[in-house]
Amino acid sequence: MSEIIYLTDLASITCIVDKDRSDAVLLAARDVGARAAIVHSAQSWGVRERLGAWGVAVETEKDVIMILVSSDQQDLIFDAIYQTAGLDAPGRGFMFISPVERGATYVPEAVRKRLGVNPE
Amino acid sequence: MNTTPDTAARRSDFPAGKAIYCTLPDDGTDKRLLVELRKKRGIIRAGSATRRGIAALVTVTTKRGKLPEPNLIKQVFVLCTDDQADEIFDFIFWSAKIDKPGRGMMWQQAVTGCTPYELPADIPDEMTGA
Repeated sequence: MSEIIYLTDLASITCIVDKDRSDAVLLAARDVGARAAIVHSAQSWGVRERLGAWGVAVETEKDVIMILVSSDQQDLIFDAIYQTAGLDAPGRGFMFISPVERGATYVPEAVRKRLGVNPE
Repeated sequence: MNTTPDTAARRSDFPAGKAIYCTLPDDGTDKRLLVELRKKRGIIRAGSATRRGIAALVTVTTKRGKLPEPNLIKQVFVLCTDDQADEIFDFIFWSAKIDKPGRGMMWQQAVTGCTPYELPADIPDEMTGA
């Protein structure tokens, strides 16, 4: 059994966007280097009901997109998502970055050898 | 909203901890992992949820401007204390075979406060029904 290679200097970017914009957001994230994303559906409620006729401008069907990125990529990817999702417009959604202490996943043998870390 | 002395005192009962997340293929590994966490490590603050996973966004070949087909995946989440985190993280890694290709990934985040959780004593075992 080889040792676990802990990945550090990570951050998670979570973005809540209109459902019809999630593909565009994912493509934009991919274009600036994101490797994988986790998506689930969500429905917003609350403030929309207090907006009266203007409430129809707030799409309630949202996608929650979570992307794990390296810390040095986080600003670039955050900015790309922000622009693509149009989060500067009211009611479009919001996003946040939170620090990740460590991660782990499958590390290919070739990468292990290159790093000199417990090759199998 | 101001914090009352009561709520401030109560917060001290809710110590910081760690949240460990893990994405797994939809093959039943999540249920097996949750049972093992409970039986072997006593972890009951855990659960799993269904997600859409869009993997390897860079490496999968697709038509220009298109995303690869998403996969149905399971996301397991575990809440544990600071001193349990190292052991639980490694346990999940080996138990869910995260070191194998296509098994998913896991990560750990700090939690600034979490409530305790207990189960009723007389609930039946989900596997045996006893």
